[in-house]
Amino acid sequence: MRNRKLKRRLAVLTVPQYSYEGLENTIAKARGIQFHPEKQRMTTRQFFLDQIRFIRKEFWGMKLIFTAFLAYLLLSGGVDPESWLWTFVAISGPVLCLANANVLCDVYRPGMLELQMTARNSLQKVLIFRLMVSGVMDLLAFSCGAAILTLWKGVYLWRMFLYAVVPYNLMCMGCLAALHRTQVASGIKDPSDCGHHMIIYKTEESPLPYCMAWGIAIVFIMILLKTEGYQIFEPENVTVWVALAAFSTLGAIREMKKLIRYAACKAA
Amino acid sequence: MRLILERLSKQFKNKIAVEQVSVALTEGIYGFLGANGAGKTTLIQMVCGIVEPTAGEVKLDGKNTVSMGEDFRDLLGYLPQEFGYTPGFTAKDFLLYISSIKGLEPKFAKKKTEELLRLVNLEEETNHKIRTFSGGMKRRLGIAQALLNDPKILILDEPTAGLDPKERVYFRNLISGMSKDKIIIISTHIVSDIEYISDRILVMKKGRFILDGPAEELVAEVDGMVWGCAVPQKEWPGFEQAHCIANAHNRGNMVEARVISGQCPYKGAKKLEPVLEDLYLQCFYEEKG
Amino acid sequence: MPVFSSGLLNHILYKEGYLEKLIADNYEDIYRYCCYHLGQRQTAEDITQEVFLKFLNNLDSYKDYGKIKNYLYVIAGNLIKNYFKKPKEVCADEIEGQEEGAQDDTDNILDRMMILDALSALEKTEKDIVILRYYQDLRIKDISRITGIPLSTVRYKLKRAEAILRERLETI
Repeated sequence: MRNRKLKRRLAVLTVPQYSYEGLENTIAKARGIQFHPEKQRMTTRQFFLDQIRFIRKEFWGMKLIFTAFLAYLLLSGGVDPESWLWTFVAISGPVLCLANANVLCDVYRPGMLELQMTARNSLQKVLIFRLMVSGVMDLLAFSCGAAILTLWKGVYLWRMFLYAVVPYNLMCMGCLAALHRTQVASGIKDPSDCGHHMIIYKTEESPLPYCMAWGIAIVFIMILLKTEGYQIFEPENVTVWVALAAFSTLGAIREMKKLIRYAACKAA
Repeated sequence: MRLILERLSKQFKNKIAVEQVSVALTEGIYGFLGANGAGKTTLIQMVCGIVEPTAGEVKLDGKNTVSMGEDFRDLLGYLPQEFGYTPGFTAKDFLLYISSIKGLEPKFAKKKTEELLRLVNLEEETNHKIRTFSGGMKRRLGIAQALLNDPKILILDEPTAGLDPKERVYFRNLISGMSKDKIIIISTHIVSDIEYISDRILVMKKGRFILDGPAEELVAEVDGMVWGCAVPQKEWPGFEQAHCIANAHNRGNMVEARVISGQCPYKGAKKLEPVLEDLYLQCFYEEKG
Repeated sequence: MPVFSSGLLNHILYKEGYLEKLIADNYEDIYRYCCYHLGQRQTAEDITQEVFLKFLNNLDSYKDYGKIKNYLYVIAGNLIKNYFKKPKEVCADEIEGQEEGAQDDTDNILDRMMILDALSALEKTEKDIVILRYYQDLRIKDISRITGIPLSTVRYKLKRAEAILRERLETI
């Protein structure tokens, strides 16, 4: 209340109106300023967001189709160990990973590698980004399936997770190993100290045929075991799966760390 | 800006590719001249940070370029001998992708991409896939990508490979017209690429720089050693074997030759005005003998 | 050091008319603020122009203050301080009367003089806070951001200034 009275009193003090020329003049001078847009650079976060549009469309398409198919199977089929649902879950790993492998390999094209290595955003960053995107998309696909299972069918959650993770990790391990073999010469002396022990980048051979062969092998083995009558999806055999899960997870992490570390290396 | 190569060396298992190279570069155009296998590409790759030197270092204004990391690469524009691309990319996709990894602001990158495609005469191919491009077109695209971040250090490895004479001239004019605040290194074995536009030419042989200076100085090295003479057809095979021939031309039953030699190679030979190519030939002639 | 890209710069570079609107929307407030401090229309306009040009030439620093307008006030405050440091002939406490349609109402003139007098009794910071609050109608939070003075201190100083002003203005 009291402030309003004060305000009214103070408001008696007015200032002259500004001149139109003053405003126009300011705008004109502002227009003449050189902003140097070429000096702007993206932060890492902006870079990651920007890179999304360069991941080939087939990647997104594949993930979507896969997730849709998984959802369809889950909603329509039964969940007994005999059903092909489990087999599908198991082969999902290799299939998803193949799309990931494609996306990673894009970076390792001959001639493209040198350009990556001399650009501001290092090869490491690009790889980390692509690995992250692959991981996130696959996680989403599985979460979708897991959500459907939990909501519609009950509690087979952790078993589905198990049957999915093992082949997925095995496939990851295989693909990354293939990437190393074809892109990077074997015989690295000390992988931990890459400043002095160098990599020989060979980029003529593509790792994709190896990835595919490995994926087919995994799938083939599982289907073979199943048709031969081995009850691989029975609850008794869960311990085997758990052991494999531990082994393959550690293996996949190791391969991924190697990949990222080597990406910061220079050529021998 | 001072880019200093300090005793750079590179040794592969059984051969020394670069041996103790020390050079100081400031703003200007430099030609690295040498035959294939002389070590130019390896040297350049060390400067760019792609290859780890066996010994020595590269410094920019006193700071080691490897430790500068991103900030050094930000100043760099590099055209490798062969550059690759993701299959399915159009010219525009490719340049936008390279802009992205160079960290350029996307809206600016779009404008810069259009500008550069116009500059290298690939405007019509903007939306065509790179796999449909000829060798010369790919080269031009490569030059465009090197310029995206307006690099202060521009390194071009065999930039005119596959370009026809008209394109070569265009390229020369493009480079020499660039602003004078860059260090431009052109590594090539084609003398005409750099003869008239370089401020300094460095001739590389067997991993070391054997000559270093402006074109006129280098050419003076062979002053008085370039001869023009006419040799009868019969004697030609023997003559050719024994001398360094820059040029030979059949005229009737004589062969008119441009010879590089310390002494007068043939009766009646006349001294000629030397050019850079003569020097190049003289340097690399010794390898045969 | 790299210049990180900002949304603001992009708007200015690529949005048609954005720059003009930015200036037009903020010109009056900054001008009035300058005028209340400086007392002269021309000087106020000069400083106002400098504010905008300085802002545009230093776009990277803008993020720290939140709203653009707050940052403009900060720049204005600094430029005004610098202006006062320079030696000059004109006394800055006078505010010119309005040229057109100047009211010859003697009461009005007396009132204005009293207010001017009261304001001059305040210390610099208090005066600034009063101008930002009563003439620019800013919230205490924004005033705190602009002046760099903590919220509670702003409130305290404002209360003090109000007390002084009331005391001075009530005595007729």
